[in-house]
Amino acid sequence: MSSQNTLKNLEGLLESFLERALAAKEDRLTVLSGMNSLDDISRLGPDDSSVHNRLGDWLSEHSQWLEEGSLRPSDVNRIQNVLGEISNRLDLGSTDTPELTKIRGEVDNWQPPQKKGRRVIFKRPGESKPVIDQNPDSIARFQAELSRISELYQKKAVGCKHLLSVLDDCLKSAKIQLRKEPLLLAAFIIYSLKQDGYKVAPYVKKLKEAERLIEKVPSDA
Amino acid sequence: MLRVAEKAYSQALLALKRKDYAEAVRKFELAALEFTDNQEFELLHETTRLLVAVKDELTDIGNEDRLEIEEVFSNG
Repeated sequence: MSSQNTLKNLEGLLESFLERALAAKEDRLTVLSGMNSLDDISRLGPDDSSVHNRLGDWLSEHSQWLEEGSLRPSDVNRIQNVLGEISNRLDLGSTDTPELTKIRGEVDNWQPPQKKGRRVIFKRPGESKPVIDQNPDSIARFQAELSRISELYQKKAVGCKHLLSVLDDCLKSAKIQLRKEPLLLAAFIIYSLKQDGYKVAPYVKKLKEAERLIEKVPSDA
Repeated sequence: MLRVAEKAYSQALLALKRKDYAEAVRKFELAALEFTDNQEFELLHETTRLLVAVKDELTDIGNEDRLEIEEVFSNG
């Protein structure tokens, strides 16, 4: 058999292998394709007028994912995050149109349902119980912490174009480094964004995940 | 947003689906640092690289096999 024929056979075998490998991942490829195109939309500049149309097209094309409930929870989470980012950008300086209202409504369908009537209960030990505190000067301690958080914000903000990028970075740092400062900074940014009308539910979820991880770290670590 | 490597990996798979093997190799290279420990990734990456090399070799052989025919007119 000539070398050319050998190579042709090998070519056919390799192509066939790749086709079958991809066929086995067909469903996953469909999801990746959708997430990829949503990611492309999220990377469009704020002045790009095609964002609304492309997002509207994406939402109508992929609405069956919501209806079928066939996506992995991690995929749903990521899509919620990206849609939240895009939606927050659409809120900036945009006048309300019926089209924009409809898009926001469809984006909201992707967000996890908000629990209504949640009460936040602060608990602290009774006055008679001694508070374990290595530094009795709580004002000085908090002042020092505030300075560290402020320095952290300065570092994180370098090169970022939006506060949401700083927030993402803080949440990642909190989760990976298991440190309190990025967690507190993230919480501050989330509350600040909420006051400005941003939808922060996906970020609150990430904050709580990071908080749970940090709580597991021994305090003398 | 997708991380750069994640995006590159998904673009590599989509390029494979389109049978754009050269593009798939380029995207696999971008994703390689993050997925190098992933067996499935390595298998697809190396298989695609091999396929592109085989195709290149077949193209070279095809070019060598082509006969250049020239007519030469002698004087008279």
